[in-house]
Amino acid sequence: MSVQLLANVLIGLALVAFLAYRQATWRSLDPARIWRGPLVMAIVGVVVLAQTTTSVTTTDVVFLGLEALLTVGVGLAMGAMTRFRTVTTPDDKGRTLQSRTGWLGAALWIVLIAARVGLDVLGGHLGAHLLTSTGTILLVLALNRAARALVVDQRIPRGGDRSAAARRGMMVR
Amino acid sequence: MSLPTDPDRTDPAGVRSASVLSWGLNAVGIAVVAFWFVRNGLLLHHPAWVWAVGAVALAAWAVREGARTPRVLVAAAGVMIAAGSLAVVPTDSLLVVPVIVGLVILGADLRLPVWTAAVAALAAVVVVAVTATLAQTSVQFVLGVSGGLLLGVLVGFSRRQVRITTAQARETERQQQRARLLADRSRASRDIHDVLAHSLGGLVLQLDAVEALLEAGRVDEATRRAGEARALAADGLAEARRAVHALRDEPQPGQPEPNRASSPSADHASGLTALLDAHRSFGGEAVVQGDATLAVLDDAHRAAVVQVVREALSNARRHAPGRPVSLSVIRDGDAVDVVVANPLPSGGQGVLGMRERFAELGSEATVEAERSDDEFVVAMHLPVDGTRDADTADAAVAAEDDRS
Repeated sequence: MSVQLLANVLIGLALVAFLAYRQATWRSLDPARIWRGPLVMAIVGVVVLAQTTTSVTTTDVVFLGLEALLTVGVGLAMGAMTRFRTVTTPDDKGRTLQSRTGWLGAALWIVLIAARVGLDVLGGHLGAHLLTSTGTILLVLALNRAARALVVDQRIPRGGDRSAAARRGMMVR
Repeated sequence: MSLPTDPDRTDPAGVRSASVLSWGLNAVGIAVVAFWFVRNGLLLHHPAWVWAVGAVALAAWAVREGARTPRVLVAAAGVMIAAGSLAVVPTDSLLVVPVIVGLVILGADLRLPVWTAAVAALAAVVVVAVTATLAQTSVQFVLGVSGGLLLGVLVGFSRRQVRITTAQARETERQQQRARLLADRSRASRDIHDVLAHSLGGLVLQLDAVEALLEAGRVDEATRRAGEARALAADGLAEARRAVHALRDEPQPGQPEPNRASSPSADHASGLTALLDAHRSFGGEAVVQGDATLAVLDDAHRAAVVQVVREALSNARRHAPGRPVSLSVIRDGDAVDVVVANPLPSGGQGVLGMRERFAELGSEATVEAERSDDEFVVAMHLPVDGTRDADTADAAVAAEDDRS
């Protein structure tokens, strides 16, 4: 195992661990900006993918579709798991709403990464080479975040509206 | 207050709202797709499973045509997508049609989450891609089919938006009806209060007087008072009947809004004179300045003034019996000020009703009822009716002569 590969693996693992940690802790949530991240990732992903010269095969489509289903499913589940709370002291951007997905969400995130790596390996053996391109990885991430944002967007406790969901979210953990 | 009774409108899933046209188009679609499915199938010699799966997809489409409950509709759509996507590749994309129709149904159903159709489309793409890989079909075919499915998702989403908008418009309409109903109720309560407080209050005063006169042995006067009390009770009954009648009558669509504020008493032609006569007959004193017939006002404004003055006189009798009330009608350019003043404060439900009544006129007319020094003053400010102004100028002049 070369040093280069080892470094890549370590960086990848560190990134996954960092993202999992972020899932599990309370983060400030800006309802107006939850779509920004997925949108940027999707645009960059499409641009990168458009520059890839690999020819697309039906196997590619199969694995892309499977990955998309997987990532959307995980994203929807994460959105449903997300808890909300409002803090009394706003952060430096004036946001009082916070959200977190919890350790279950973080575990789901790691499952998604593992399943993705598994699909990559399987797809690589069956001739689906598009999967490993950076553009695809970004698109998969964007889909995941978009699916989560879709669910979160509908569940966000709106200002002043003390819905049952909001109360539940504030009381949990 | 009739609520919309269209049965289709109470159907969020839109099961029954499918128009005849949509039903017809779907029927034609089923017939055309079934015809080509059989014809191509006979030419291409489909294997048995393709016949079976294709038949299931078409049968589900037919079930959707007759579906009466949302659950059946969604189930039919699911079968259409699953069976259809399996048969897309063997039938040269013919059976993509039921898949797209199924996606539209799922996307438009408000009971399902918004992502249902997109996820179903993704699953269908995977199924199509797998069958295409097994059948060695070109990737362009798969991408083309995916484009078709995307179209179905978009059409379903747009239908969903239309249904949401319709539902919101209906909700707004319902709330407006509710607000109208509440306004009508408050108007009814005000009218009933005005009529009953006036006549019953007057009746109590009259009967008190009758009692006092009888105790003093002045039977003749007591008889006269009792006669007046009877007349007042009869008037009150007539007023109450008119109020009930006015409340029961549906307002005419073409009728201008100010008329809806009109009081139960239809006959206000005599203006304030009848009220003042009644007040005096209850033993009240009234000092009048100006034209009490209010000839320069239109019917709606005159009716409102009559109601407010009735309330003010009634309050004055209740709270300041035996004290003089001053009523002034002052013409001020193109406006009229009506001021009722009596010693001692008064207030309550009646004052609220006064304000509401004037607010309903929707004109510049204002009423203020408040304590000023040691008097309670009700002051009204009303625009003159332009059409009557010329006709009644002489009458107003005559009234002013009368005063001087």
